[in-house]
Amino acid sequence: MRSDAAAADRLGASKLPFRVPGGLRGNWMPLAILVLLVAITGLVSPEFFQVTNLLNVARQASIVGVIAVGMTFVILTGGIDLSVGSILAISAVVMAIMAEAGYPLIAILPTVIALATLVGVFNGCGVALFGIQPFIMTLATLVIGRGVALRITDGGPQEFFLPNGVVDFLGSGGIGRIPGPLIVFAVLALIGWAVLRHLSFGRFLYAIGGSQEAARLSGVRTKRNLIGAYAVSGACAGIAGIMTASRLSVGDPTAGNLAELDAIAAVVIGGTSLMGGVGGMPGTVAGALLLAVVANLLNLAGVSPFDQQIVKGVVILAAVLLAGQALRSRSKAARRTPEGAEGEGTSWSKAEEET
Amino acid sequence: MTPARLEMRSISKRFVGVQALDDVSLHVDDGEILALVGENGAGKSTLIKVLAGAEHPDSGEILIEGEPAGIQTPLDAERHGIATVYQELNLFPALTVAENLLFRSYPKTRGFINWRGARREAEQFLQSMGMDIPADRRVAELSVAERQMLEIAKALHRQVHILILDEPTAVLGGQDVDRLLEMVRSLRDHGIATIFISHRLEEIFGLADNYVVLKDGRPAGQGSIADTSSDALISMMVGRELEGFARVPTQRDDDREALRVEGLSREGVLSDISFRLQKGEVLGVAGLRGAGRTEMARAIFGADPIDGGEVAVGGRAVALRSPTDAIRNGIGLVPEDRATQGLFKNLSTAENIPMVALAAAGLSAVQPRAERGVAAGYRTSLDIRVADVTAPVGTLSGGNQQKVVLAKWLEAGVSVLILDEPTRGIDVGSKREIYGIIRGLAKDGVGVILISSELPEVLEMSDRILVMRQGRIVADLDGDEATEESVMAHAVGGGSDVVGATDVGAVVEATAKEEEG
Repeated sequence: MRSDAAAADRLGASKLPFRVPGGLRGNWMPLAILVLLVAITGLVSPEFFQVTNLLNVARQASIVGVIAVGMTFVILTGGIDLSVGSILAISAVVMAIMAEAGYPLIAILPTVIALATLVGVFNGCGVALFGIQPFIMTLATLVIGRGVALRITDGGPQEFFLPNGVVDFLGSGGIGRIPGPLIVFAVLALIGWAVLRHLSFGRFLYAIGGSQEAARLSGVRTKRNLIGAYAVSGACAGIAGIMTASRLSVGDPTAGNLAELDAIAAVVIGGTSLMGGVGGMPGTVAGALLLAVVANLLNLAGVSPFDQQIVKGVVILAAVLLAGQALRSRSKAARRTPEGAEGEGTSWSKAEEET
Repeated sequence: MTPARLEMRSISKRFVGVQALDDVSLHVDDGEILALVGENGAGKSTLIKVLAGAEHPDSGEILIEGEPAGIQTPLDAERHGIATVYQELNLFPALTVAENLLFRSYPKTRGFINWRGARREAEQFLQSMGMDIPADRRVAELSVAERQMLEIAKALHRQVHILILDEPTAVLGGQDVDRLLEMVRSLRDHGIATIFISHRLEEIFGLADNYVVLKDGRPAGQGSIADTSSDALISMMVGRELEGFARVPTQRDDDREALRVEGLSREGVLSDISFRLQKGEVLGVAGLRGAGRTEMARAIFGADPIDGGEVAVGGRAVALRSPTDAIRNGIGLVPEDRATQGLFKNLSTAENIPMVALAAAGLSAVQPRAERGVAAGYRTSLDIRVADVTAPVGTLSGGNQQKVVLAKWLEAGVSVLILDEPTRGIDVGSKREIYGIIRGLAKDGVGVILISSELPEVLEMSDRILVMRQGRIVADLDGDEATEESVMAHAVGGGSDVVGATDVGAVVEATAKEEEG
């Protein structure tokens, strides 16, 4: 069968007219909105395009973006992770305390990330092994985690002093004028994209999001893959915590409050379905950038912070509605072709010729 | 002569590609139980849906007491005193018995529901029906039999004249069946006209007054139960032709065992399932809905837990605790519900096909380009009609989706493949191609288990046929000698050669008497 397939590989490959860029299928709408918005912004306030401002936008998008990278893994399985803001806070606080206790950065970073991953595994176990609904499980972790962060710092922010190039890079520095957080975001998004697209683990998450029972009956070990997804989300939130703490040299136990909502918004605006199984990393990146651009535009336009909230909510609604509509019309078009062809020799062979 | 309580006259209904009902007539009087019988897919369900106002016939009319009744909606049917108890029960599990029973007609005091009164009313009503179900118990806590009876009680609470029961006993065990049948009999004595659908001939002979047989949507016989026999009924039900198909025996390799199952059991679902499957053999599994065929397939595949029994693959005993274990041992399953269990509709053809192989490989790299190549290969070899293998597989037709599911297993490589209703809802052309694929697998030495409700399909494809009934294998027939009649007789348990084996005493006696006479 395999040699058959290999022979047909050459045949089939030549038949494909063009390749849709990986992961972008169905996700072009958020990108289109982003481009449109940038164009309008540029017209309204030219200072948007000043390099300083653009880098500022990117920096703002980075921390939410890093969380959203992990969130994408979880939402693809049809789940949700509400605990990321709390994981961020715990990570920031633990980093600050370890730094004050004199641990070197080389010990701090792996410890904090491992801890954050462990919290993710805790979420995953609740969901996969005990059948707790993801919303409830991660809501509980959100509450517990915030409590833990407040407890270990006794409620106040924990300042720390860690003169280190890496901390500087993760917080407010960068390479040349490119902000460090943006580089971290870009690298993590790239890794996330590669895992989702080119590793079986990623494919299994799409499969589980499509139908957990079908995945199980195909031999996919659904439980450990689910736990893996929550672990990735936890790890990303932990990295976001390190970035947050590094920026101000402070471990704030209230940091990352409501960050989960921005991250979820970024993922969903990016065309990843909350039902699971559809979407991907490019959309998430676009979604995170879109949110930051909107915030920046409103700032430049001098809109009050209260009105900004309202506009942001409306933008989220509009983006999701438009993306959903684009997806629907696309799948309708796709359905028309093969079914019209079914059982009708002429139209089928015509479709064959076209491809 | 007074007109019948209910008369259906020349009802026809066509769905795309299928004549579901073709000139079907029947009538039921007050105090009569009419048995509606036929194979799976004979049109019974469509007929009662027409009566319940859920489907509109293309032609024909429904008369209630001689008057044309324009039944357009389920509400119309209710107004005419027609109540239907479907197999899938329509109860609210989180509400109590009383809340379900009186739904939409709660007693009220000044606009507020009087719960104490409701409970009292429900208790009295249930008592008058001779049912001892506590009115304040949540439906979720009731047994299946109790729910079934509550559903009937709910129907009766709304002043019914005509009661339709769609396979009410299919999910019940011995004693519960007796209780339910007793209840139906007492309803008849109270003058209610009943249409009773059942596959179990023993019940029909113990209960019904008259019968109507449907085959392929056409009336295949009707009359008085007293004037017929179970063999006669079976011969009216069967006899369909399988379109465009001629039997070719597969090559059996008698020396090499592909799969052996011994004493497989699961409480209340499967009991003592034992059989052997040779390499290159197609083993058909026949039986009625609810006979335990799908459950057997899932148990062998490790998808459901078992209470006891052994499975050996290629002569080696293996423990199959999960589908992953089964796949590792070379067993594959094409599940009954293609849409939610066989396929990932969110993924493309190219992403679906390697799934089993990928899962078996554990953490590994995915090469989209190579996947598209593999998919293109199967598109050619299995003739999958898809213009773009990167389009979501949900956009394909049923037959092509099933080919994708098969490709998933071909790509993984299996030594035993279990197919559960592989051609359900698939057009004739694709069916033929799927038969070809199955035969090709057997030729390559794969042991195939073919579960199907279509008797002609099982008969034509199988070297041997297992017949299941109530969670057991009741017959192991040679594919060349089996006939639709012999398979059906074992499946319904009413055939002359198995009467002694059934345990529903009184009913069997009635059947046996019938056959002597």
